[in-house]
Amino acid sequence: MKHNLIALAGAAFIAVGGSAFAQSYPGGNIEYVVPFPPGGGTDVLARQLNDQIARQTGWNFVILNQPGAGGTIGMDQLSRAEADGLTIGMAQTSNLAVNPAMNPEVQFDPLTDFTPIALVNTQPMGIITNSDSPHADFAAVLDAVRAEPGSILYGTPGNGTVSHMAIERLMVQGDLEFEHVPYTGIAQAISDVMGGVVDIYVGSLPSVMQHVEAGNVRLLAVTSAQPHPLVPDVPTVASLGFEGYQAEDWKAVVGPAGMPEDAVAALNAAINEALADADLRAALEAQGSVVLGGTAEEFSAFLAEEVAAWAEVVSSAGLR
Amino acid sequence: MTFADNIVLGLETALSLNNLMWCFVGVFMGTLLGVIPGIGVLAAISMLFPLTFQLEPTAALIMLAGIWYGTTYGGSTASILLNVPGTPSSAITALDGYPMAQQGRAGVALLMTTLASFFGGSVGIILLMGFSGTISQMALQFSSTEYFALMLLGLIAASGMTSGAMIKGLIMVCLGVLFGLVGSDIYSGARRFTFGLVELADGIALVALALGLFGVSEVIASVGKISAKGVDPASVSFKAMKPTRDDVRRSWFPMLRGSAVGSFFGTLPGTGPSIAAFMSYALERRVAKEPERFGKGAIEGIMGPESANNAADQTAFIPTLALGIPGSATMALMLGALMIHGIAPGPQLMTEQPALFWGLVMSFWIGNLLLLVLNIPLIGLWVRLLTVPYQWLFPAVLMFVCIGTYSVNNSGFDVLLVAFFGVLGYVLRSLSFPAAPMLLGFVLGPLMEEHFRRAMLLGRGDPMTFLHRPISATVLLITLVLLIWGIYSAVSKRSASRSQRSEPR
Repeated sequence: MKHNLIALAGAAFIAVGGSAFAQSYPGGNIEYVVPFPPGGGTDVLARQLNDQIARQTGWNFVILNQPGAGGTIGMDQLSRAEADGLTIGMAQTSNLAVNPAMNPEVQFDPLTDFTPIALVNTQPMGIITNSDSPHADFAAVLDAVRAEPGSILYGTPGNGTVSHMAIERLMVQGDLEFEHVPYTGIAQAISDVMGGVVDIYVGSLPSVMQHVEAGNVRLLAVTSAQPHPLVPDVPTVASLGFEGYQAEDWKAVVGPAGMPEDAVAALNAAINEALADADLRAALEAQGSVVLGGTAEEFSAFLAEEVAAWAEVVSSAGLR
Repeated sequence: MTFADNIVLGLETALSLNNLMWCFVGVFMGTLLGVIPGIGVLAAISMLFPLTFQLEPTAALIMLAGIWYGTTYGGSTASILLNVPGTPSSAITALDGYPMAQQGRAGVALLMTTLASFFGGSVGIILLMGFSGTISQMALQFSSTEYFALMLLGLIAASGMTSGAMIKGLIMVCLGVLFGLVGSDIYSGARRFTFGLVELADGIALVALALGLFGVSEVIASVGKISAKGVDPASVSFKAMKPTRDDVRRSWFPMLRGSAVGSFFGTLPGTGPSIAAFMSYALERRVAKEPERFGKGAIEGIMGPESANNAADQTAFIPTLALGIPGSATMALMLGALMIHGIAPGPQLMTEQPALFWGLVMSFWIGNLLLLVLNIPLIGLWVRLLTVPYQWLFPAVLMFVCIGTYSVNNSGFDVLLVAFFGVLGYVLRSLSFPAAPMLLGFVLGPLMEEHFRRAMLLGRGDPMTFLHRPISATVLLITLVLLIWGIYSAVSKRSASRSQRSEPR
């Protein structure tokens, strides 16, 4: 992979690591693919995590923002990078578990083309409605949609996002019919939610919380399996009669398939150590994240479950 | 806290030595990058973004914001002297600024655009300070129906924007819309017109299209007639900067109207300074007593847009800071700089971080004053950048165009697109088709589709939804009047001067 400008700016005075006689991991700069533009949620998380790892280990990360096609361009590039442990990246639910099932043009296989390294964090989706909505709670919304299928319009930050898939999963599991209105983010949607033009909106918990706290909208439910620590009183979708339901946006570090085991072990240990840092933990939790971590094997098993679960939703909902 | 307390707090913050220094760094970098064609503000800010991790958040934002409005000051310089827009928002300034330079009035144009920039910027800051809440509330009432109607108005207004036939403008708008439709359909994810290329999944990059159409085609057109152009240093001396009384008289109203248009469009998500400048130009042409002067060095044609884009630069911060809603990719980066430091953008920012908010706002005054100094007494410095002989300058421009394009998405494919649009732009230019309406069609086309389809979804398939909502009905009516008027005046003009050949741009 070529160094780009940003990489050069970041690593201006450090020679490119090409030594064949590296004694121990990493033995050079670690190129870090972020499949979204700088400044976005994934980018911010990657930088926070890498800063902490760099403080602990002295490793040098070079962030390579490779946005496009909802993160699949960056993931595709990562899957074809050299598996020497010096190119890794940040993946998440949408580009690793959902898009490959949904989009026939995605070239990589999430289970065979990557080496799972570690889970980082997870955020549930929050379902909001406007303050004067006739629906007192999410059960009322469900009643309304059962009484008159298609009567509820739901907004999301876009087609194929976890927010969209969350309702598709609900529709498959409960045999319900909602109408989808995709936006490109909550910024665009919030005025329609507040005006009651769209009945409910599903977005990542931190993105909806700022509007909930401002008193513009009400939070009806969260999509995690367990109630979320930031909003312990808000019911989960699962608790409303949808056993086993969950739709979360997790983020994780992966590398190309066939990475050396010692590199995976070193990276996994470093990520877990970084996630144990109190400041980083507090920062992530303040953003609505549940910090995960864990072994590479745990992530590998989790990924297999997620890929299967979302492929099932995609095919049942006829989204491919 | 009272308003006065806030201003004092803001000044204290902005005038601290550290913040003052980063403000200067920002506006200096902004002017430099704005003057050099090919490096857009987004590319510039993304390149300097990593630097902000080391700064405290107020200084980081002050610097990034300085680059943002600094490029708009600098952008007009290349537009006027070379007919190559330094930034997309200055593209329209080239239409009348460059003819002024050809008439030996480059100095006047540079001085007056700097004053217009300062005036527009000042109006924008005053509005940002005073009416933050009110203005964003207004924009918040807009739903997809209103956005669709406003964008349609923008496109129709734009097609009559440049001299030459309105029909040609409409054709170019439509061509732009077609290019804009390439990529993923946001409602179904289906890929349209991508020829199976994954690089086109997100559509054609704006920076590639803009730099190709405006930058590369200019370079191609200039090959072989190198000696015909060039910047005469005498034309930008202090003496040559003195505007005539007629210039001053003609400038007042365009500045006022431009500031108003710019302030309004700055607050709307998805519009921003480029569209504000286009709209202002269209408005000036419409209200002008002698519209045929436009495109041939009319001072109104630079004063309006330059006030508009700078006003929009400042008011773009209203939704970004007051509501945490970024209207553009650049504003999203600013919010990213806040998030890195653990500050959540949103409505609570103004109350929780008053020093940051007001410090940033007051730094805009300081930054704009610094820019006056940078752009009037030091204009010679920037012009010298452009007096480099063309055989040196143009390869450098092409290189910066390539770097600028590549660095946005780290995509080599985008560089090929620049080449494609460069050739296309050259062909269109030779046939005297105006490129600016195409750019606007490209930007607004997909947004219009998005809003149209969303409005239909929200209206449950009833097209009358556009007429039921009063704001959109009014805007659509104005659009219709404008279209009829435009076609009528084009037809009557043609029959009046059938023999006259229309001038290229």
